[in-house]
Amino acid sequence: MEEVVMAGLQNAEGAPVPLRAVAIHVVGRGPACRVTVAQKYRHEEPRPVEAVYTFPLPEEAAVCGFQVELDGRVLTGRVEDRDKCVEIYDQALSQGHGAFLVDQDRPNVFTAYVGNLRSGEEVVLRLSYTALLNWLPDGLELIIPTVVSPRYFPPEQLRDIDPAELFHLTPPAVLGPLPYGFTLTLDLELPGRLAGVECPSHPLRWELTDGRMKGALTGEARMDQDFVLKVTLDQSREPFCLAAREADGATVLLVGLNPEVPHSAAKKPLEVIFLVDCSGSMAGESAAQARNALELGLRALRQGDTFNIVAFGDYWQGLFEEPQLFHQATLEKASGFVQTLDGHMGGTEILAPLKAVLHRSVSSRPRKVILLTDGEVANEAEIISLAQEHRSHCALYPVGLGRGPNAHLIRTLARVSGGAAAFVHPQARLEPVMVALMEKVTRPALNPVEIRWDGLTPDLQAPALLPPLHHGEHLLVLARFSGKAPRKVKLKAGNSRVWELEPTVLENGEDQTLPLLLAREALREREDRLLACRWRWQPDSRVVKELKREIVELSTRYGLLSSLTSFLVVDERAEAPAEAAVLRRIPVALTRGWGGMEQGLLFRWHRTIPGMPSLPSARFEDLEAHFLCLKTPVSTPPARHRFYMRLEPDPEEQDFRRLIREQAAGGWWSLTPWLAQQVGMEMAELEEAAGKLPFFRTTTRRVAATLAALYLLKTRFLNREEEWRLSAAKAEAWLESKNLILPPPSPDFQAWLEQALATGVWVGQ
Amino acid sequence: MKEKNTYSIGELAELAKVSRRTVRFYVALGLISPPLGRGRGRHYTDQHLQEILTIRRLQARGVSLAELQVRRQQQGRLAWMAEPPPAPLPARMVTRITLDEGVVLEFAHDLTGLTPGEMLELARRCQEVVKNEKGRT
Repeated sequence: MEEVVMAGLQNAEGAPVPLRAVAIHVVGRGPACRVTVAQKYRHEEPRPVEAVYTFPLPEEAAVCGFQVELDGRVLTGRVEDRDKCVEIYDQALSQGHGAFLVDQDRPNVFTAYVGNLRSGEEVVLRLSYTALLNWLPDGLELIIPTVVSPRYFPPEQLRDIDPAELFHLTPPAVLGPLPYGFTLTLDLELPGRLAGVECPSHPLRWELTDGRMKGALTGEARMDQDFVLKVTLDQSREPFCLAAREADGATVLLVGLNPEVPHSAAKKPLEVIFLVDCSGSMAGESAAQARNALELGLRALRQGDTFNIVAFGDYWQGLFEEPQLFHQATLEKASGFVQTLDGHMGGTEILAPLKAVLHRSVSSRPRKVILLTDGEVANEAEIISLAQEHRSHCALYPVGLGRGPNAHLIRTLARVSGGAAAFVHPQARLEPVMVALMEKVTRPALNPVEIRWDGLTPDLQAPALLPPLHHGEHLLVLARFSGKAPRKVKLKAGNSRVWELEPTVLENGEDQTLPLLLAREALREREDRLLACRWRWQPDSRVVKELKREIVELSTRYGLLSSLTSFLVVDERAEAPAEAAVLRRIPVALTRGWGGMEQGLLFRWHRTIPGMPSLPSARFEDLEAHFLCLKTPVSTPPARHRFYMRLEPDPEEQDFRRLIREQAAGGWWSLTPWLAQQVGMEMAELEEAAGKLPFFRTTTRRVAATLAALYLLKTRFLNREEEWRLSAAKAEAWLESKNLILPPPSPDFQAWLEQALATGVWVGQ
Repeated sequence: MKEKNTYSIGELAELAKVSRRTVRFYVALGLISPPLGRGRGRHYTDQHLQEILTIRRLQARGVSLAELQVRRQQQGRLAWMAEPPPAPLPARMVTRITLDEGVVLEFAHDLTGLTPGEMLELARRCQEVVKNEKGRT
């Protein structure tokens, strides 16, 4: 049956696609997870081929294992110098041997070369990695990418990029059927009681046994969007310190902290810049997400803050020339501007607008940039290096939108600038994520964060410099001690908070997870620095050479893949090949929702592909060939349609959104017939009830409306507190300035209103 | 430049200022001739070097790889001279490299057809000459 389905599936040149299936298995234990990705290739053409497959892994993955299963044998790969690997690989292929090579092109993009697949041969490539789980205040988030989205190459980069790198980063993308999909199974150990499971991206079947959550995708899924899982637990994680031993006797410690950052009494006014990606790849659902996120973000600002919105694509345009004070008039203007934004501005030139924002003279207000993007660019290094240069006066808060955002760019920008990152899958709820992010923006982070290792100095620590600690962010520090290990660890954050922790030695103390994670973090810091250096100094400078040496040393010592090393397996064969292997690139699925492609495909057919710069097409080399495959008929299996479009929001949802949207910049609401109706009253009745207050009529009406709105939030929408708490805090602050204090909610609105108004009348008199 | 005229993949890549993977990729796409020999004896010659440099020049002029593939299939080789000069630009793009005080080297992009690496290399050589001349006067 399988054979019949696959017979018609061919790549752009009309040859069958040798990749047949991908299986992902996730095991979560303690603070980390171990993931195995198995790619099965089967070759059916008469002549030998060399398959080249570009695929994503999470950017935090420490890729520590590579095995090849061939004719019932298992061959284990080794990490070696990247250039040396390709030479050995090339020689092996020319001699007719089997050779298998894996490169890291970006921390989250990898390419596998499967050489000399003979007719009828079946090979399984098994890559394994370990990564720290992403703990949130109320649970954990697991994101597993499945697709490398088409990305934008700035013209100057296209001119200078190494052709092989371009070749790796631009796998041919198809909308039509593919002969392979992925299956996923998971087994997560949960440290608390399970309160909820949300998997917005895929249908997932799961069960709970002995405190472990075991789950699997219901069937094989197309590899066209990230797998996103959020597990909510009923208890927050306590600070912890774990210890493991390396084979040579050294101790590796992992310290984790997730503190509540208190509201600071004196809030400094901020300068908040919203930088919105309006490039072609954002068209459709990602742009809609960005508009909603902006509406929410704007409403979290306070009077006294200044703000601006900058939209970018091939060019950029700001709402205002200079950041303006946030008040009702500017909010309304901004709201109107937001509604005009879409994926209509062509390429993704992030660098120019970011430079313009960062190079502006520094004001007394802390500057915060909220970047809404899918991050589909290839010049990550330049952008990261720019953010790094300005880290002292500007923190970046990137939000990854769409179904396959570039997590490497988004996380690294937050990390190097001392900000925080967030991701929102189009099927997931945007509001709680944006509220949590805006809290991080508006609440000052604990800074500086210091760690003391019982008077000892680690020989390796990652991160080397601890980032400011934001509310709701998890701080993880890894360190290695070759001699004596510390017996207690002291952490200090800001001026007041101190934690003292004693290391708990892991039961499986010889487990290599912690050393691997430390090596990966240390490698990543060096890779980030190397990328930043290349733009500023000569490639042969001493700093670059030293960084390269450190990367290769760490990578080979721990057997971890890096940007300067590759995994290689050679299977020597006795017989010489009759003919040379032909190249077969594995086509990948176009990221679902990319550039609004599904909806707009027929209209865009003969026009420029959105997201591509408006340059002569001749510049595009591979990108051209890349989209040839789109000419296959578009057909998506019907079963997947239900994940396609977001359902129209239900009336309850619409009411909630309207209520949040109608709040004014100052925190109050205006009295409208709709609002009065929501609390079962007439406008005139409400106004009359508040008539006794010692204010002018406009203020009286605002007080009545604000009380009604707060009542609605705290009763009807109580279960969405995480989405409205910023709005309510602003409203309560405004009411307090009018000497009104809210009583506890009661079931009868009118009685509650009278009680609330009485506090104001009493104080007012 | 080296005396001998056979190169390993690494030597060829370094001379042509591309990666080893790019050399393999050009061979796989049929843009340059396959290497000579097999296994450890596998090697490249000056002809391969010339072929890669021609591709890089044509690419710098805006010719796509897909087009290069077609040309190579039709003509059996890629000719640099056969490339018609590009349409005159309304404004000429130039690269100016200051060699020394008062000495500037200028490249007209539409005429030289040099890659940035080649321009830099040339500038470096000219700088040597300027330095030597200065030392003499």
